[in-house]
Amino acid sequence: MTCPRDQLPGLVYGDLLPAEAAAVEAHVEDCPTCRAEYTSLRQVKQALSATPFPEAVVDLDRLFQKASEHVVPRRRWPKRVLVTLAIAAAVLLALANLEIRAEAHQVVIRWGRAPLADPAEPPPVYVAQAAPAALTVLDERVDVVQELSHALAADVDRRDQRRGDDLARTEARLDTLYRYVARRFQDTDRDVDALYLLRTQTPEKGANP
Amino acid sequence: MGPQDPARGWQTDPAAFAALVRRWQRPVARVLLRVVGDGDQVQDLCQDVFLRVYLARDRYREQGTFSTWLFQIAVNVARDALRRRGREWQPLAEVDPVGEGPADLGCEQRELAAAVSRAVAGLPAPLREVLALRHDQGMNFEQMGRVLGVPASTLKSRFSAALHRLRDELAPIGRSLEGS
Repeated sequence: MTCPRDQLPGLVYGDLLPAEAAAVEAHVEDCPTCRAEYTSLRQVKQALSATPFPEAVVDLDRLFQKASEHVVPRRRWPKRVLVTLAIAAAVLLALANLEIRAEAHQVVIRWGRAPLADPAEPPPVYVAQAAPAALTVLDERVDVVQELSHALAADVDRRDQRRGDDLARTEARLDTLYRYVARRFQDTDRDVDALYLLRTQTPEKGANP
Repeated sequence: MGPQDPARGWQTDPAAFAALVRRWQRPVARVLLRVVGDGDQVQDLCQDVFLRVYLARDRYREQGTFSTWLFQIAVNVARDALRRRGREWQPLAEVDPVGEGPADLGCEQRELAAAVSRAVAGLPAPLREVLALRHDQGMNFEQMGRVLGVPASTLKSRFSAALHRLRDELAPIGRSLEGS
């Protein structure tokens, strides 16, 4: 039997099966090296068992108090999930061609495309009718919202116009620059041709050197 | 329900929970000391273990033995403490492993105990965990595998390595070991 060094801890701690233990014990009796190692491992086990341990007494009053103070963390939606949901909602609204409009005494919500010709059936429209008692206040609020939305639309138009003008000016400048560069290129080309002819031209017979 | 399992009702009855704590605080403290290697921290860590047991009592299911679940928590608390300390094992000089040990120990015995504890503290944390559960708690390798989430064969190798390293570390004080 080759020296069962790996099985010696198992022999010391009683982890071996009876047949294994008997075989290893027999070997240990005959092998001085294994016997010395077995003895030293047993001494290690004894030394570990002799280690004093400090007493630890759990303070139950403090434990119950800390337990009562323990707050279960509230599960929050991750920011990324909220942003994704908001974007998805905005995209759905845009795709569904959803229109929300305030008119006199009612709020109109319309979705889908408006029909090109008079349809046999009008598109479904949900109308929220205000109670008669609150009409005046609601009318005023609707008027304010309308004015705001008109002002917003006018502002958007003005900005569009300005941007269009800027783009036109930039386009004109680029056009001028392009024509200037093209002209300079043609002039340079002509000059190079002339120089080339001057360098390569051979003098005619009888001409002055 | 096995002999190691606590009495029923410990999850709802404070008196039953107190009895459970009295039964298990010493074994838990031994495991914590072996793994963390610092006697001064054991009291607080032990408190932490049982606080976690109490807070998680509704989640305990009688699928395995209670001791498996308890020592999983104890090992996690020990690992958290080591992480907070910033290293898996400490240089020998920085450890006060015995802490305030029994005053009635003779001088030579205290020195031997300190040498053994320093040698254990010098082992890597995974070897200390196996040593604590096998030597101090008498768990077999299959039970340990459930606590640590590691195959039994790996744990056997770790245990063997731990003993051999301790043997090498303690060889210079062989005469003292013979007398222990």
